[in-house]
This record gives sequence, structure tokens and C-alpha cells, in this order.
Amino acid sequence: MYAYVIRRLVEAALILLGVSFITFILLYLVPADPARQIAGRSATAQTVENIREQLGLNLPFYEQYWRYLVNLLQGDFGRSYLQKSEVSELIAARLPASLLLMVAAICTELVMGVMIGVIAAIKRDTPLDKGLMVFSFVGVSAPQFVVGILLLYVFAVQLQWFPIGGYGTFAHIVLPALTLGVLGTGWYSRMMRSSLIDVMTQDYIRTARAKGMPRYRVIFRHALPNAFLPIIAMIGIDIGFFMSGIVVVESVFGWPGIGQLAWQAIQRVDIPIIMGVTLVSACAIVLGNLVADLIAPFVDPRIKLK
Amino acid sequence: MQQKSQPILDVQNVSISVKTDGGLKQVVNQFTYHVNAGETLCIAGESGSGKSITSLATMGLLPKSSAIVTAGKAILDGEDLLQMPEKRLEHVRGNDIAMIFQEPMTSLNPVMTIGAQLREVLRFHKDMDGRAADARALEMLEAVRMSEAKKRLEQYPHELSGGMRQRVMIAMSLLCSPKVLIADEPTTALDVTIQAQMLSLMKELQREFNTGLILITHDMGVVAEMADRVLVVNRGEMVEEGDVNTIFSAPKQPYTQDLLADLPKLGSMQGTVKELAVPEADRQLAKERPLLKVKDLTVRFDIIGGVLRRPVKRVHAVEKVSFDLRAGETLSLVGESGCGKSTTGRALLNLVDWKGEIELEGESTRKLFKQDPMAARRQIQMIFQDPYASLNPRMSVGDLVGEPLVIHQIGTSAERKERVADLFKRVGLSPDQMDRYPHEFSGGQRQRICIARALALNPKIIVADESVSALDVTVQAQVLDLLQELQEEMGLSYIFISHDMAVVEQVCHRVAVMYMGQIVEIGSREAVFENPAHDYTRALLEAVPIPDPTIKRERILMSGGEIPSPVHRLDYQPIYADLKEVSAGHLVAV
Repeated sequence: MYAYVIRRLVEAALILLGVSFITFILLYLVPADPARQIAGRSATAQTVENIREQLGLNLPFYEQYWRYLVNLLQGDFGRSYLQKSEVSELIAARLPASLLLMVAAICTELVMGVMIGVIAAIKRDTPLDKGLMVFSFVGVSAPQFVVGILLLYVFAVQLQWFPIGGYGTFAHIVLPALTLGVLGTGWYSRMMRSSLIDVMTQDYIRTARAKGMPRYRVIFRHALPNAFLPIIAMIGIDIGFFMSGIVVVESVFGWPGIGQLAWQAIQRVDIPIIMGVTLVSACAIVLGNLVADLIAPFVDPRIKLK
Repeated sequence: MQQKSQPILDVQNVSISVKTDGGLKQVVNQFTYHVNAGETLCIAGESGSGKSITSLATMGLLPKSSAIVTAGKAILDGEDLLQMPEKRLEHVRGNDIAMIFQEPMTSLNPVMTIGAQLREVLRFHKDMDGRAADARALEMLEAVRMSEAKKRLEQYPHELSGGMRQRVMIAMSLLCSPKVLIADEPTTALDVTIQAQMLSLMKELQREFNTGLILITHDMGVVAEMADRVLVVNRGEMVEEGDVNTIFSAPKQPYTQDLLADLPKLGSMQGTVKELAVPEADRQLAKERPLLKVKDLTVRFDIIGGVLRRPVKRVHAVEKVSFDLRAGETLSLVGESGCGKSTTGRALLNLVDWKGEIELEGESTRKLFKQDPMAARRQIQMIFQDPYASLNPRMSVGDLVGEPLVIHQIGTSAERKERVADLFKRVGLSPDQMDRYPHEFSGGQRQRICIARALALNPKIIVADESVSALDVTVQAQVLDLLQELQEEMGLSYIFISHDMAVVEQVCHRVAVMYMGQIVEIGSREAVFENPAHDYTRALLEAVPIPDPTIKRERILMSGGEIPSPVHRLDYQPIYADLKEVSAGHLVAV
């Protein structure tokens, strides 16, 4: 177990190193000139050159990357070009909001997805099953900005049940969490349905029925835990989807998280922020997968961490 | 004398249909049978006979979406199980009537402990909880002779071997002392020594609980050993019913007669000597210069683990195995699961990493496979166990048989087609079936296709790994005949890997008995079967059920003995047993 965690953490560090390298290359190749960006349009060529010198942009590529990496290890993500403050502080200030949104969205999609999937599987091939599957299909295919705007229009503008945007109370989180969770709900309900249908044909379900276990117990005690196994692996992957999702959702709902921060930074080519957010996202994905893998053996005793 | 009791389960005129695309298709036609308390009724038949589906129907376990009972009754305690509402049925199942299934590996819930799976039966049927349930579960595990019963309660199914899991299944089914126990092929998936333990255990428990036992099996040896009465079924029809002695000594129906005739019987070849399938003049030479020489073959697999993913344990699959194979000879490798027989076969085809020496006609196969793997493969081919899984479902059978020719770039497309047609005829299939797909064929026909494919390259040696184990006896007999014919016609040599002593006796010239990766006894068929010299060989032979109800076996050792594991620590040094020659060509480990 400990050996496994240590190995996975070493792997995680390597992955993050790779991510930092790739993002660094990409941004190195971006045609925008950060020095010009910082100096502003009216700056003289001399000022731009000074800034360039200051940022080390004239150094060879590997040296720039090396400096970046060394700073990174000391927790220094660099300074935002435009906001004139430390990237790490900017991210730290906004991370809690994003994490809150993500947890809310995971809960939404798990609860809704599993419920819909189980009902559809039990009521297989009935109109209810078909209706639910159409819903989940729409959930999987609808783009998030459309879902978000639709929810805003219906529940915030027309019905006025929830605020249009902002951050603070429980009511604020409902619509963004729903928007972010709709895609996952669609995925999970479809996965849950097929997984449960498959598990119900397994020999041990027949054994449980032969023992005289009542139907509810066969489904909830014998089938569900087994059907749930593929879902757990999925949660880890899901965090990756969320990371791209929050950029859209936070912008639509004015949610003050790192997604919004990234969106603003991208518009203004604020490279240190983009790189910081990318790294934090990569961290979250890697950790999310690790956590999912660590949970798995508790649900499935056959899985041994090696 | 026990008085003849009333039937406890009375099945009357049950008919079952399955739903197909073309409407309902009847698979069981008016089955009528009963079982009394303390009695064993064996329902014997081959696949597709309807023997299992009837029992599932009796238990109310038919999948509603695919099969329905169209007529009949199944009376238990004056109540018709087939008309019973689901709620009442839940109360009866596991309580008054219980069932054990064929597949011990998949019949237990993988995410629940053994204890939890036993306790829930008591909770629902006997309102028993906590300590009382624990005590009863433990008592039952001890009754089925589970080793370290207490520890097992906390374990999960994957931590137990197949035989142990089947013990758990038996314990679970008997927790509430049911009146009727239905056992559907309960020992088919088990090794023969474990099967013998399990059968005698079931007999003993049945006597203790006075249960009516319905044993469903395809194995007439098991029938002879267990049954009081026998019902023979075939293709959804009842063929013959009667007392076990009558069925075996004077079967009336031709089908029953065939079933008994096709059954490989241990000892049936006694006193006969089988000659090599080469012209008489060449026999002496064939014996002196073996086609294949295997010396000190060793195969080990490392189990990887730890932070640095280094080997932590090692499977000693095959340890210093040596044997010869002559032209036109069948050499059988027999043994139980994990003994290394399949791995040996794979090493011959270079499908695993191996150490030692293998020489084909005096040339090292290691060199052959290195220099020209294609040429080497043309010499040795393989037929696998599962004819369903070893044919690609998306290729026509003609393409499947012809594929080796394409890969080895033999002939033009027209010539290849002709050769495939030839091969089809040779294995007893019609060449106009070449455009069909594997799913359109039965298990026996598919195995013929696999044989045709193995023959495509004209190999000298064919490794047949449990190639008839999955087939019904009548089909098995046909496939064995085919293999024999091909050997006589083409002078093929077979490495015949099997766990079934009776089949092995029928087909082979020589036998090597394997145990824990080593050969413990090797010799001519006559020597090994008529004068087995090693204890393990004797145990294997004694464990085979004898298809003769008049011979009741001595009680099998009940210790719950398990087959030991070949997994060892890295520093493990295998102990090699020396083989001693007890008579000419008959070597035994000492």
C-alpha cells in the first residue's frame, strides 16, 4: 500500500514535470510578445527591450525553462503580467470557489446519474427507461454553454428561483453545479444502467436469488456495489473534464474561480497565469485519479494495489 | 429397512419454451420426475438436453425475458412452485429448496465476505442475527470440512480456491436444512481429486440432513457413483428413467446405450498395446531417434510488485521436465490444474520464455525459432481447449482455416482454396460450409475447424491442450476418433494435454503424469495405467468416478486436501525428485 502510494506520487511528479514542459513550449511558441503586452501599446522599443531583459525572455529556451522550473519548486509561479501580483496568490484566492463548485458538481452527477441509471436498469425496456435514456443522451451531447444559458433563462430569468450569477449562498451554486454536472449525469446514468444490467446476469446474482434474497436486497446489496466499480474509475477521469468545464461554466455564471481567472488570462495572453492554472489543473487530475485508485480496493476486495 | 417415502418434490409435465426471433421454441417437453427424502435422482444428458433449464424453472429462476414455462406443475409440500407469487417464492428458496451451481468461481459475490453471504441466508429465513448466525455459519463450514473455517468467514471469494468455493456453496445451500437440494453440474469445473472429495461430502451430508438430492450431470461416472434413480434426457425429451443399476446394466433406449458406449471407461484398454502410427519397418528407428527431445525444460514466471516493480514472488510452473516424443506417437501430459501441463505445451511452441533444451529432429528449437520462426511454427501447431473462444467470430471458417497458408505465403489464392476444401473434407466437414461463420457451428464442428486449421501447414507435431474437454461425450468420442484417424493417415505426433484419465487412456501411447511442475511418472500407457507406481498417479486414478453402479468406491480421504500452489518466494530452490526406472521406459519419481 505505502509502496504503491510512493510509486504513484513519483509518477505524479514526472507527469507534472511533463505538463510543465509542454505548456512552456506551447507558450514559448505563441506569437504574442509578453514584453509588448506588459509595456502597453505606447511604450518605446527601449522600454519593451528592458522588460524583455528583466523577464529573461532573451535567454535561450532551456535556460528560461530551467529558471521557471527552479522557481516553481520554490512555490513561485511567477508574476502576472497584467494584474501585477503573484500568480500563486491569485490562484490560492480563487481555488476554494472552484473546488466547492467541483464537489457540488460531483455530488450532483453521482446522485443523479446513479439514480437515473438504476431506475432505467430496473425498468429496462419500458417507456420510463427510454425516456431517461433520451434525457441522458441530451445531457451527454449538449454543449455546456448552451445548458448553462438555458438553465439561466428558465430558472433565473423566467422563474427567478435562483440568482443569475455570483457567489456566496447555496442558491448561487445550484445552477452552476447543475450545468457542470449535466454531462457527467448523462455519462454516469448510461454507464450505471449498462453496468447494472450486466451485473444482474452474473452467476452470483442467480445465487443470491436462489438463496431467497428479496428483490430489493439482490439489487441494492448484491448488484449495486459490483455495478458501481466502473463508476469509481470514472470519477478520476471526470476531474479532467471538470477542469475544462469550469472555464466555460464559471464565465457563464460569473463564478469567481480559477476557470474564470484562466479565461481572463487567455484573453489577455497573461502567460504566467495560464501556466499556473494549467499546472494546478494537472495536479488536480493526477490527484483525483490517485484518490479514485486508492478508494477502489475498499469497494472491490479483489483489487490489490501493486 | 426404510419405508418408501412420499415424493417431496414432484415435477409433472413441465414444458418450457425459449423466446427466439422466430417466436417461441420448445426446449423442454413434458418432463415428469420426482425425488423422495434422502434419495438421489440424477438427471443425465448432454448440452441442450433441457436438464438445467428445468431445474432453474423449478426454482423460479428462469430469466423472464428469454424463457417461459408453458405447462406443468412442480409440487413442493403441496404447493406449486411454478404458480407461486414471487414473495412466497423468496421465502421458499434457500429455505425449503436450495440450489448449487456449476461455476464455483463466479457463483459467489466477489465484494462480500464469505461470512456475510452465509449470514444473510439465516437472517432472512431464520430471523437469526449476530452471534447466533455467526456460530451457525461456522458450524456449517465445519460440516463441509472447510479448512480453517473461522478464518474463511472474514475472507472474500477470490481468496479461496475453486474447491473451497464449492464447499462454501454447499454450506450455504444446506444452512436451512432444505428438503430438496438441486445440484447443477456441481463438480464439473473441479479437478478430479477435488471432485471425488466433493461427491463423497455431498453423499454424507445428504444422509445427515435426509435431503432429496437432484443431481444434474453429463458425467455417467458421477451418475453411477451418486444416483439411486436416473433420468436420461436428450434434446428436451425424456428418454429413459429407472433404477441406477437397471439403467447401467440394461439400458432400453438406443440413446442411453450410445451414451454409455461413448463414455471413455478407465481400464477399457487393459491388456492392449498401441503401436506407433508409422510403417512397421520404421518403428524401431522411430523409437531410437525421437522426433522431439525435451530436456530439463523449466518455465518460471515472476510476480511483480513493490515500489520499483521488481519480482517479489515466482511461479514455478515447469521444473526440469524431460521427455521424448516419437514419430506417430501420442504422448499425454496429465495432471490437475496448476501442474504445468499447459505451460509445457506452450513452451514447445515458444509461446512462453523457457529454459532447458528442446530438440526437434536433432535441432534446437530455440535456434529454429530465432532463425526462422515461420519455418519452426510449420512443424508444431496447437489446438486449444475452447472451440468457441479460439475462432475469430468475424472471419468465415474458410478464411480461418486458410489463414495459416496466407501468413506463410503458401500457394496462390486458388490453390489455397483447394487446400482448405481438402482440409474440410479431411476433418469431416463439407467444403460448401467454408463461407459460414463460427457461430453457425456446434462445439464439435468448431473443434473440427480448429483441427483443420492446425493441419493446414502439414505439421509434424500437434499440441492438443484439453482439446476435447469442453465437448459432450458423444461428440468427444467423434473428435477423438478423428484425431486417431489423422494420426494413422499422416503419421502425426500428438502432445495430448488433459486432466481426464479415461480419455488419456484411450488415446495415448505413453503418459507423463505431472504434479507441481514436475513429471512424477512417465511410461507406456500399459505400464502407467496397469502398474501405477507413484502415489499421486494412484490417487488420480482412484479419484476417477467409475461408470458402474455396482462398484462403490472406498471412502475418499475427507481431509479437504487442496492442490498445493506453485507460487514461491524468490529464494525458493525447487526440490527435484529423481526418476527411477522401474521397468523398461517406465520412470517414477522417488
